[in-house]
Amino acid sequence: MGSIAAVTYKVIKPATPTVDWSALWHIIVVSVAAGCGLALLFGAILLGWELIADSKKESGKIGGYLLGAAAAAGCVAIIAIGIYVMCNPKASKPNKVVPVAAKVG
Amino acid sequence: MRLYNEITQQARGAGTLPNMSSALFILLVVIVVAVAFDYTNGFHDTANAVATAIATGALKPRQAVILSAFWNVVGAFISISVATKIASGLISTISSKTAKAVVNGHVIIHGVSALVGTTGLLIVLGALAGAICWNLITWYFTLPSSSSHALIGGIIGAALVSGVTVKWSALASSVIFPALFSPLICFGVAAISTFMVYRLAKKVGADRSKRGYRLGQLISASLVSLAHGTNDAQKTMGVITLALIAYYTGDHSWAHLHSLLAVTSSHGYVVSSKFSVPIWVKCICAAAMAGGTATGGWRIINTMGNRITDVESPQGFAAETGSAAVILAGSYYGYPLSTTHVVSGGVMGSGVGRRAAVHWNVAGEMAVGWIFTIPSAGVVAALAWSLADLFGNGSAFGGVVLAVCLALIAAGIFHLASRKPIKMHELDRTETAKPPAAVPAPAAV
Repeated sequence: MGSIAAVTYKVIKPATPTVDWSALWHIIVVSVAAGCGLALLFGAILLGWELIADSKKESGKIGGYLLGAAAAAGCVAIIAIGIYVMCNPKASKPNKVVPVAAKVG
Repeated sequence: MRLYNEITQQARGAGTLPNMSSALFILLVVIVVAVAFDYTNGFHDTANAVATAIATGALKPRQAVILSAFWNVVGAFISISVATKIASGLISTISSKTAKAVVNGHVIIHGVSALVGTTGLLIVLGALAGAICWNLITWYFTLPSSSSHALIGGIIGAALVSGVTVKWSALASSVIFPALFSPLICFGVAAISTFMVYRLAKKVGADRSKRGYRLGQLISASLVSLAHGTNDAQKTMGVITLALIAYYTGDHSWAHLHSLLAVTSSHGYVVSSKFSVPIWVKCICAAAMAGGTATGGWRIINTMGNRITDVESPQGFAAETGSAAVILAGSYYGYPLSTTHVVSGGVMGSGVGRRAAVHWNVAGEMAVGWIFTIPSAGVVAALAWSLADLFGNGSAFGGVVLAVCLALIAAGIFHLASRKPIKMHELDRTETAKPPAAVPAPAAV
């Protein structure tokens, strides 16, 4: 058993530091917030559209406009953040100056 | 210039510095094969990005392909971080003595020192051959498979047989681990958002909801395509640039290398480099992917849009927004993900979220394909590199023989696939489409 445990440890040990659990947790949180948030906000836009089209009262129409506008603003904000993230991925940011490697000419 | 001459003499002395015409010839072969790989990438990844939008009738197939191609190009222009990662990532050092002297002795340009001269070009060629073969085989069986993983498997296979060291820890952290978690995360996100979307859709009229979410799918499909353009689509761009670097480092033409990499010099030393993908590479790759989707992507779109679960427009919207969110979050935190894996997880999750039937047998076939992607592409790439190497180290003739063999295999698979074709018009679900659009029976695996 001891040798099996030692072999298992040897196999598992080098792989352990390769998994960045903190980054994984961030990915889950951001994905849920952005994915579900966008779906919810788009649903709210449609709800606003429904209120505008079907409400007989003026206040209902105003509520629809407000809901639709707020949800649309939220959607645009999420998409804008997404595009900003695409343009500036965290992983590609330079960390330190690369050590001197070659002399040219 | 003294250093430049010294390196050139070293390489010539060992007899591995190629005849420039033959190196250029291999470079051209590599570029053609890389574009062919992107064409097969269009069968898989690009097709997946728009599959649900086509399945719900939000877009006509042709419109979807054009939309996807457009956003892929835009994505490639706004970020090249993944191309950089591919070009500088998995392979660390080269075993050829001369190349090692070149790499370790003098020329270390941050991250792109691994592949030198025609030896490097043939490794790239072998990797592409392995990836193309796997893409075509899975395409024939109508299984969505990750082109990125096929390419990575190919690089590993060709690198191992040619004696290049592979960074296994980098492979585990940036390929294997994300491949395991990304479909699961997207599954969860899509299931939750689909559930919420249908709760909201009950308060909106059915017709308005359908029309609204179809419109929304224009945005969500664009987002997935854009995410693909900033992520997956760049892998071939990275490979072509890697081949150009291998060619130029083989030539030791500093002027070319500088112009290619925009190397920053300070006090006469190379202190860092800013990797750049030439514009023509971006445009050719995007065009090849769009061409691949337009001519052969329908087999994969049919599986993703119709065979996993019956997709409705609110569901498709939720699956796509979830996929885009996961891909972008993954990229931001340094985990480049496969579009195929993420979108597949999203489609399955959206089916569960809507409580619709999900065909788990199809999902199981896809998962088996994913498990075998890296080893299979690696084995084919190793064989391909060995075949090319039979004709001599860095031989242009070996490269040509490999390319011809690859073309023959591809022609054979295309011929087999043409017996059970899936045509574009069969997948058109828009209101102006000619009914009925029969879904062809799945191919036996």
